[in-house]
Amino acid sequence: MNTKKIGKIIGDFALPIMLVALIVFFSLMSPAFLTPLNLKNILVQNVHVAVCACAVMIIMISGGCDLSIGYQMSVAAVLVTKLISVNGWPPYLAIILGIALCSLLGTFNGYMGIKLKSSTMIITLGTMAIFQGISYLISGSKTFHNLPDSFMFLGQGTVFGFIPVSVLIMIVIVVLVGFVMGKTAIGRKVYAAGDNPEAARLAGLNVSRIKILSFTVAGVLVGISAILLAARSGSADSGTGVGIEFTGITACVLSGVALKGGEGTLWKVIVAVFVLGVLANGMQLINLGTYPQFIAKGVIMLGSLYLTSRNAQ
Amino acid sequence: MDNVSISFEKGEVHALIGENGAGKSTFIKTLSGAITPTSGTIVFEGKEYSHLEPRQAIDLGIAVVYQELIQFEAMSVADNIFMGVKDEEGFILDDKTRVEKSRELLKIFDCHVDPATLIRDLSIANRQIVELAKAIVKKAKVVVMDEPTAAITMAEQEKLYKVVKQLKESGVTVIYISHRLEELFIICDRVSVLRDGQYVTTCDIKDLTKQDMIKYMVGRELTNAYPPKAPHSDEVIMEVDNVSGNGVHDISFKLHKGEILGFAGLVGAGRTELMHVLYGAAKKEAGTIKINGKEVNFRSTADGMKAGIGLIPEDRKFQGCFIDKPIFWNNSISCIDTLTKAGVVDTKAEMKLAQEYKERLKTKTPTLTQLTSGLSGGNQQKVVIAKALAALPEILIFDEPTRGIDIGARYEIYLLMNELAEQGKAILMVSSDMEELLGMSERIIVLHEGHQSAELQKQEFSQEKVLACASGV
Amino acid sequence: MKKFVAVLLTVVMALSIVACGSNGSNEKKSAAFVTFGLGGDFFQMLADQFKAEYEAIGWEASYADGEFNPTKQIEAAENYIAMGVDVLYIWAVAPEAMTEVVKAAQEKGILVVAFVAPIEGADATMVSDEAALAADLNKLAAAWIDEAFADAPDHSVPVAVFTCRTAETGVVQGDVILKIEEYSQKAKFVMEVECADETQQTGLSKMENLYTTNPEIKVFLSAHNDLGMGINAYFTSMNSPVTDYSDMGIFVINGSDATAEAIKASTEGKAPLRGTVMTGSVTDTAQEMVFVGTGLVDGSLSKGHVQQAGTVFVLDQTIDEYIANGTVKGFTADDLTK
Repeated sequence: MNTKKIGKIIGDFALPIMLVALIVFFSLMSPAFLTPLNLKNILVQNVHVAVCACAVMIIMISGGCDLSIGYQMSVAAVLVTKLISVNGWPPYLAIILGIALCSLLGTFNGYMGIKLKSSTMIITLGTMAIFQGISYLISGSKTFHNLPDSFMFLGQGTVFGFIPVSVLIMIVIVVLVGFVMGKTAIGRKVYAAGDNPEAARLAGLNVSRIKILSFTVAGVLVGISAILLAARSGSADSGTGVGIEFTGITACVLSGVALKGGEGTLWKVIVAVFVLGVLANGMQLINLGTYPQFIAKGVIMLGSLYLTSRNAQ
Repeated sequence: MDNVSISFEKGEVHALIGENGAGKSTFIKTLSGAITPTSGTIVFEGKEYSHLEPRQAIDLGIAVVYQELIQFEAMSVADNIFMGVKDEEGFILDDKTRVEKSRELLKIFDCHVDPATLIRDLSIANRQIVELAKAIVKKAKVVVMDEPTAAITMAEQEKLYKVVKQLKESGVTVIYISHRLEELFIICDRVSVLRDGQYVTTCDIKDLTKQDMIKYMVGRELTNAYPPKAPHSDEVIMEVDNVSGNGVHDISFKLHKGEILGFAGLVGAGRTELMHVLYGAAKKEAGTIKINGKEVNFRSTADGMKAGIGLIPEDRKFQGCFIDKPIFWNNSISCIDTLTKAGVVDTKAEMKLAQEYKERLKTKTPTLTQLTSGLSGGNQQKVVIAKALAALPEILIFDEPTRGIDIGARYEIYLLMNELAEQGKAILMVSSDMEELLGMSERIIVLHEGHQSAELQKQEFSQEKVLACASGV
Repeated sequence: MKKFVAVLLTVVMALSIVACGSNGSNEKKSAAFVTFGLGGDFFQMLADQFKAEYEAIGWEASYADGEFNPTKQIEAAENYIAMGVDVLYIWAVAPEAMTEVVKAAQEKGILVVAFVAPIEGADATMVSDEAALAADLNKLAAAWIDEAFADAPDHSVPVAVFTCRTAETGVVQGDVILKIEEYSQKAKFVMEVECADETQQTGLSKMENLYTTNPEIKVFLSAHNDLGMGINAYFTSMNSPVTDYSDMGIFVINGSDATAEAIKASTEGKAPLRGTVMTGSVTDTAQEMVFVGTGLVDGSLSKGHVQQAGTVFVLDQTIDEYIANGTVKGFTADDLTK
């Protein structure tokens, strides 16, 4: 009984334990790791990943899967930066349009999933190609830069001289998503729709609407993430954000978000994002080559899964 | 279902019976709004509806406890009870109050699980109680229960009967579906019978006998529920000596060729667990198993199969067969290696095998390429049995062979078991249906909390005796 | 009757095919380009310019997205063979995988030009020596370091090299750039920063991390333009730890338009990215492609011709010319040290 309990605690807190272990390890290996500058770097570098992971989590909990997130980001990033740098739009207007477009793309994914009665993983494999095309149509394979400071402030600015604006935005979003998913009726309904759609239907819930709405909200988050990323690097092209869906899905799966839907805890997802982030940062500080980094990343992921699955057994 | 008209009165317990495929499930699904009827009307408290939406049914006060318990597995008891209850949810949820309210509700049913527990960690009986609590929260006026006692223990059944009485006393109409005709006499007021999607009759229960009900359901007289069987030989095929593992301890018995050996016990007594040890699906920790006098130690189910054991698992849909695959596919999967030429599956041989078993087991199906999911419960079970037989076993384990199968098809399964035994195969049979166990077995081994509490010979058989041993008295 | 119609139809069809064939010989000549891939500024610009240059001399021209994938490239090449183009350019991802398709093209009388990556049996090869280009980058950087830090002791100016070793070019050029000390008297090679991909975001993140451990490094070299742009983005961002770039330098290979703008900004002290070397501008390269293709067709170039691309240096002295003309003429490595 006692060992069982310990096992459960280890299972529940596998990721925080892993995170602490990584931090301790890298602090011992590199004096530069545990410095304010580096910690800020880790935060700032993972802001867009964390926001995206929130989107991935919502979709996965609702029982879906979105492989097109990377290109949604790409579309939003090139659209916003092009409108600002080439067409001279005021940043706030471009940002609103970019986020609105992203939520539309997300809604389209969700709607197609319901309409075609097919797995959203396959649907988004298709829409991914569509969004890729849209992104290149907008960008014409060009890179957009020369963005005004007011835009860059979102990704590079600080308040009170040391708190990065992007990190604040991330915290607000994470708290908001955590609150909605954990404490509100609508959040609970998303879990219900993913857990057992038939039970949800029989409980009088409008499952289709809930699923589509999940994609819409995720789209908004993806749009925000795209803007944070573009503002951070001060430029965007059609490659911006591509591949982020895999980091997001990896973080979610690592943290125990069920592939079949209905299960997942936001704080664990965020911790998983930072496990991956600390790993990438720390491995550079101790100057590990690229190839060993790939291997280390895989080993850490399997290790976390081992700790989590001990609980399930 | 075709042209069925039944009226239910307020505050009665109304049984709905019929063989599988008679249309009971379809009928209740139209009540809950899960499906839309093509014609006809539903009149509820004087108001007429052409069909109901799930939301509408809930608002009217119709609650259904489905047999397969359509629930949110990964969500808490409290969430399951309150999901979709309108006046209980604002924008922000008050989990504390929900948990407290749930606790109060469950107390009505004498159930003391923590409302924060996840549904998937609950026993079947408790999950049913959660569904009933849901019905109360939604102020249901009609509660439909689809085979609530199919998968729960005797003690839990008693509790359930009490709950049904409580509901009735508070003026709720209960529509009760069951294959266990005996229990209807305990709790029901009236009985309606469906057959092949048609309405047959409605009677007061006091005017009926069990024989009458069977007659109405099957459409003919079924005189003998259990076919007679030739006695077994004295040749021992399997000898189990002090076997422990997988939660069972010190089990010993001998199994003869041509014998049907029954295993009785309450849910959780370790019957299925024992079968898994014997088959190689779970690890044996101590003791010896001999087959034909030779000691065996299974490291896997492949070893068990090679030694000549076949398993017909209790969960037909998820363990017994590949439900989304055609009949022939299921039939050949357990012996697919013998049906290949240079590693390529010989489709002709595969179809021949399937045809052979279809004829032997009298499986009713239009074609062999029919998906198993499209068959009735009895025919699905035949597919499972064919799959096990195709590996040419000498010992067959039947775990709950007739669960969820209607009376007519049951009889065919019984005949089949006898036939197999008479061909010299030995059968181990686990069943929670006491009558079936007493009717089919030649000896019964009773388990109680993982230990062997008795071995009963045919002449000692009685429900009371088995129950006493199973409860450890 | 039916038979008659059938025969008639066959005859008409046969005639029309012959007519088409004779017509075809009168048609314009055509060239096609199987690209490495189109994801990125440079690739797309080159493909578009290729098309434009050929169309300017009255040829038909088209290109296909190689998608960085040998299989896709083979498919694209096969399509062009079926179309019967006159000259086919292939920038092979995996040259050894393309030899068969080259043979098939030649059997159809199509002239094949291997672009950048040499393919066995091709009619002509256009190479830019990757290692030589990296060496030119080192010369460019060395010239600036040795001049800017003329008073510093030998091998005292810390230099970091950002590499991406997931493709062969990156490995070859990276290994040359690591030897910066052999080119510069003042440079001190401190470390190699390996990146898993060559995006600007990665360059930015890696630079952020590097600054926590090695803020003393002043000079950054990379074979990858986007990594260099990421480093530049870090130092020009709002919370950059550095605002005076006079003692800083970033040098990259194959800069884009955005790189040119950064170099222009560096001349005004607003950015640390000071220079880039490239295998000719996009226009130069496209014109060279046309030169080789037309030369093969009219016989002025012999089979097996190897076209060596020259290096274009873009730095403070040449940036205005580059921005105005899209290329720089007559500036060689020898001019750097003057």
